[in-house]
Amino acid sequence: MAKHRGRGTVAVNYPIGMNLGGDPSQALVHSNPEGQFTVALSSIDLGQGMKSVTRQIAAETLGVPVGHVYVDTADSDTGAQCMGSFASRGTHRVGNAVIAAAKEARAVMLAAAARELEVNPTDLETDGLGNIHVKGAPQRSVTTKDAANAAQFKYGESVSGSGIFLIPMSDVDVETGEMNTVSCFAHCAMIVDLTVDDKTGEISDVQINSAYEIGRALNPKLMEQQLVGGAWMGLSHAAYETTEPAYPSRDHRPFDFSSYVMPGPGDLAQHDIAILERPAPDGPFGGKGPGEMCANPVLPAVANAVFDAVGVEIDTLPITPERILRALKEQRGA
Amino acid sequence: MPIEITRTDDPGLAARLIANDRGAYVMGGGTGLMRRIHEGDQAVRHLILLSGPRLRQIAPERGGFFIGAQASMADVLAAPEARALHQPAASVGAPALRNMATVGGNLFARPPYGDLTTALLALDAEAVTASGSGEDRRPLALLLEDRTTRRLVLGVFVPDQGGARLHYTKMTRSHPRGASIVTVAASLARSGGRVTMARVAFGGLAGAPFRASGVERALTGGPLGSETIATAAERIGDGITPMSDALASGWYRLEMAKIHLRRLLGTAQGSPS
Amino acid sequence: MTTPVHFTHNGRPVSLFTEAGESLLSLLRLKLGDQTPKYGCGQGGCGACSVRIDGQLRLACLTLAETVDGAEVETVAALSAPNLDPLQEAFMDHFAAQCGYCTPGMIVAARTLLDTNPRPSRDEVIEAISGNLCRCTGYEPIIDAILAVAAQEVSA
Repeated sequence: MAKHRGRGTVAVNYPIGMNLGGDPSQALVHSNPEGQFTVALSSIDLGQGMKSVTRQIAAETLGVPVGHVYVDTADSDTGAQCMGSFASRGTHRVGNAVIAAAKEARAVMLAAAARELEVNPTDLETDGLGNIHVKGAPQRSVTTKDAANAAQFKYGESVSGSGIFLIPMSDVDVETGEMNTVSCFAHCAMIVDLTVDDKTGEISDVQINSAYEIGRALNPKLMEQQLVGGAWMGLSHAAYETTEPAYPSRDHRPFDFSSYVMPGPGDLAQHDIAILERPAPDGPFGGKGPGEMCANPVLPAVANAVFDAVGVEIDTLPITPERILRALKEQRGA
Repeated sequence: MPIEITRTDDPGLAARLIANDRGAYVMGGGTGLMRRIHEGDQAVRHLILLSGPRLRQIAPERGGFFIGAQASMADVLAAPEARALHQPAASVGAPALRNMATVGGNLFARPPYGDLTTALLALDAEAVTASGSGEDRRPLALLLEDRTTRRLVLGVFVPDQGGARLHYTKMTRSHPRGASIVTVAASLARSGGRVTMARVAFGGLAGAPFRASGVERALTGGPLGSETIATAAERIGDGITPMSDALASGWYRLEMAKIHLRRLLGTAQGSPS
Repeated sequence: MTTPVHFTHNGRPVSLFTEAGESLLSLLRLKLGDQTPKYGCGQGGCGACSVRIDGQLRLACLTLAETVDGAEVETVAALSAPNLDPLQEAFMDHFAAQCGYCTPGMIVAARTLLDTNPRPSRDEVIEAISGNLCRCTGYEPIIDAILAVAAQEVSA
């Protein structure tokens, strides 16, 4: 038995969102008389943390505690239109729409507070703890609850706002074929080290070192979780899972979660991550999106590492032990 | 179609029910039958809940030990008598499944499942089946070959191994749990530097687990040298069609069977006879 | 054909009728309204329906409902009353859930481990959750959360 260590590297420029006739998302924000805000989105949180991040963005913009904001997602009856949760666009597109909507609602709340305190709205600031006070005179203060209540019961104002963020469609230049597809890119560099057993084709002892440039980590723990979990899924796509293992033959499809192969908790890769923050000029508080980019780089990096380890190029996914072994036998035969 | 359920502690009744109705099954831990019900398998029409102390018993019997068909993998792991089967039982499923999956169920598990059965073959186990109001014994291999006669398995009898030792390994794609690419169980007795007896069984490789007689012949009579092992490994494919499924092709399974037999016996070389 | 079945559900005695061939999972979710165990695959491959029957870790989807007659059945809901189990707290602290579908089964499996083996090694934790699939986290935060609770409960 011989085991061979190999290293593969990869670098990624990842476009945030897409450009197919424009890329809009919308958000609606309103407050109840208690000063508790609801953000209504038709956007979907599919586990990546959209609810958490849009909640933070709304609270930060409104100037209220995170606990005063509830985000209602995934209902196209109550939420305004969103293109969807794909193309790593959620934080960037939906986050910007939430900022726009929350700004409108904040303006109504501050206007009511200004009338209560008998000052100009531009002289007011929020402390993020549920209070609105006069700049430089924190004792002249009203709670966001009282402001929201006054707006609705005394002044007949709706503490609400709607927002849309649109990346307009970019036409193709007929002369050059050039188009401005997106406004914002995230970046990644990754190194994968692994061991290949040249008798079985098995990959083991995977170690991943990566650096992700994601604008700003709006929620660092969520970000880390998404990068670790996403890279794990990338490893699964690279070396394990497929619905068509014998493609194009339809025979031998998986029939349960043992035959649909996924790495188990004993197949974990050690993964060290560096997060670099270069705030995006048009991102919500500088945020981009790590979504798909956390999984994608693992695939070419694994292919490159296998080539480095045993000299065979596998160009079909997943890179199974069987494919590696067949390639090794061909290489030896040649 | 509604499913019929019969509760009984009479093995004779259960044996008659399954012999006369191909839609009747004796329930073990549910890991096979409940799954088939969820999958909409209309062939499962009648579940027999058979109870009785004998069915979960693990106890010494003259010349060996008996394991009831409804003993779970966890029961096997908790029984000192069944020490020879601890490694194979631990390689089945994950903790929750091991608390449910039974020895009887493993005999009829859908390939590539059936790791415990593979070890039982190498241990020369016998199937203990209901016969009238009594019991009958037949070699496990014969029970597995004859899938047309529906017999009620009450348990298995594992004979004393004398000086033989069981060597066992299971290859999976995912870890620590996964279905078998190939499972190898080899029971070897050695004396004076020579292999005096070899029983070698493979699971995952060709549908139901089987004994590889060509491999056994190649290993018996001489010392357990690298050349002998290599020759034996070349006999694994004799008379079988390796199975292909989503996990691996038959080609890969046979290649891995050779590699793992060699690795397993390579370790056995260095171990005390 | 319906059969009466009596058992305790999270400490409370319950009696109800089960249809022939019905699983414990369907009984819990549809008839008792305890939706904490999840229906994942119905094949025993995902662990989302993990519960404890007489203290033993089992898969509710593969358990024929009438076989729990007289047994004590515990779902993750039993662990969160009156206060959250330390494992539930640790899963939140370690961000050990994304979509959350595997979490109830994962916590029942982890609690069963710690009840029998209060100081598990990392490999023993991996073994204990090996029947519970997670597709979001990559398992790492889950393993960390369980090990953190083990360290905390042993030192307490």
